[in-house]
Amino acid sequence: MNPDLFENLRLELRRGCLILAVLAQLRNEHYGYTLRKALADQGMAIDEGTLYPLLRRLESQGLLVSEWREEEKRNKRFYRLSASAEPILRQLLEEWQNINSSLTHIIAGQDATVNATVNSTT
Amino acid sequence: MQLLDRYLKTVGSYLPKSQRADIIRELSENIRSQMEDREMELGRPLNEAEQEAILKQVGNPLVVAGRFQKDQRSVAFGRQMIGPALFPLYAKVLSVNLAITLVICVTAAVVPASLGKSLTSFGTVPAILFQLMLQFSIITTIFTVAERSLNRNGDQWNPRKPSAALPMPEGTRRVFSSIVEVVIGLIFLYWFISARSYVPGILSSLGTGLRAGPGSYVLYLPVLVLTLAGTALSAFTLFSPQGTVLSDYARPAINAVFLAVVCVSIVAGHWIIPAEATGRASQSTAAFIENINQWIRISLIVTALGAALQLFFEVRRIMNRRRNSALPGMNSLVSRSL
Repeated sequence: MNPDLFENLRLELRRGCLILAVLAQLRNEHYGYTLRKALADQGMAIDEGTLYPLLRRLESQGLLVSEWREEEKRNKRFYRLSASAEPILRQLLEEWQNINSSLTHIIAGQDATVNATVNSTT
Repeated sequence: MQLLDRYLKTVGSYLPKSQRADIIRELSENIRSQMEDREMELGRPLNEAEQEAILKQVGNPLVVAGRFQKDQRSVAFGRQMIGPALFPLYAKVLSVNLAITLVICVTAAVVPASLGKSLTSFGTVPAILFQLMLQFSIITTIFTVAERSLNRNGDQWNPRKPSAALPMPEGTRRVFSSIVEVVIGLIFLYWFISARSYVPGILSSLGTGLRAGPGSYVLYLPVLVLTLAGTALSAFTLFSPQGTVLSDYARPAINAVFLAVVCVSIVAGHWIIPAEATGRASQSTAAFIENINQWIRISLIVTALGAALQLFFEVRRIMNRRRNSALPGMNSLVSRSL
C-alpha cells in the first residue's frame, strides 16, 4: 500500500480529533509548551508547528482566550477555553461519542459477519 | 542561543509585520521553555547539536511561518500548485511584477504615440496582455517549482542556515536558475533590441535634440552579443545541469568581457550628446546633458563594481574546486610514497 496515502488519511482523521483534544485540555489553563506536553503525556502528540498556529486560530474564532502573564520570571501566553466555547465543546464531545459508538457497531458487525463466514466454511 | 535567535529572525521575515512581534514573542517563549526543560533533564546547558535537534523538531521556518499566516489561500489547478506557506510571497511578487510590467508596457506604447506615431489598440492591447500573461506564467512556474521542492525537501533545511529554508538539491537548483536566466535573458533581449527603435525618438522628443554618443555605441553591440552568449550558455546548462568545463569557464569569461566593455564605455563617456553637429547647445541644454551623463556614469561604475565582485567570486570558486580536486590526488601520492 502507498505509505503516503495512509499518512494523508491518518492526518485527516487526526485533524478534527486534535481540535477536540486541545479544547478539552484547555478547560485548565496552559501555555503552548505545557499544553503540548500534557497532550503528549496522554498519547496525543502534536508537533509545535501545528499546535501553536492552531491555538491562535481557535482564539481568533472565539473558542479560546489568552493572556500574557509572568511565570518563573518569564512572560508566557496562557490559553484557556472561553466561556462561550464550553457548550460548543460539550456538543462536539457528544458528537464524537456518537461517531465512536457508530464506528464500534459497524466494526463489531463486520467482525461478526467475518467470523460467521469463517465458521460456516470450516 | 544564537541558533534560536537566527531561527526566530527567519520565521519573522516570512510573517506579516502586523503579527510578527506577537507571534515571535510567543514562539520564542515556547521554544525556550522546551530547551530549558531539556537542560533540566540533562543537568547541563544544551550544546549546539541538541539545540539544532529541537529547532528541527519545531520545523522549517517557511512552513512554520506559513501555518501562522491568517491568509491560508493557495493556487490550485486540479491539484495544489502553490500552498499557503508560499502564497503570500507569491501574491506579493506577482502583484509588484505585474504592476512594473504594466507601467513599462504602457510607457512603451504611449511614448511613440506622443511622438506622432499612430497608436492602434489592435496591436497594443494584445502586446500588453501577452507580456502580462508571460510574466504571470513565469512567476507561477517558479513558485510551483519552489512549492514542489518545499514539499519534497522541506525537512532537509539546516538550522545553522535557517535563511535557506527552501532546500533544493544542487541539480534542481542549477536547472531552476538556468530557466530563470534564460527567461530574464530573453526578456532583456526583446527590450534591448526594441529600445533601439524608440530611444532615439525619446531623446529627440526632449525638445532640444539629443542623440546617443560614443559611450552608448561602445556598449550596444557588445552587450547584445554578451547577453545572447549568456542566454545560450544558460540554455546549454539546462540540458547539462551537472555542469561542464565549458559552462564553468564561459561564465567568468563573459563577465570579464562585460566588465572590460563597461570600463571602456566609462572611459569613452559622452553617452548623450547634442544632435546638432556644431555642438553649440544652449547653457541649460548643456547642463541637462551633463546631468544625464553624470547619472549614466554613476550607474555604469556601480555596474562595473558589481561585475568585478561577481567575477572575483566566480574565479575563487573555480580555484577552490581545482584545489579540492587536486587534493585527493596529492593524498594518494603521499600515501603511496609512504
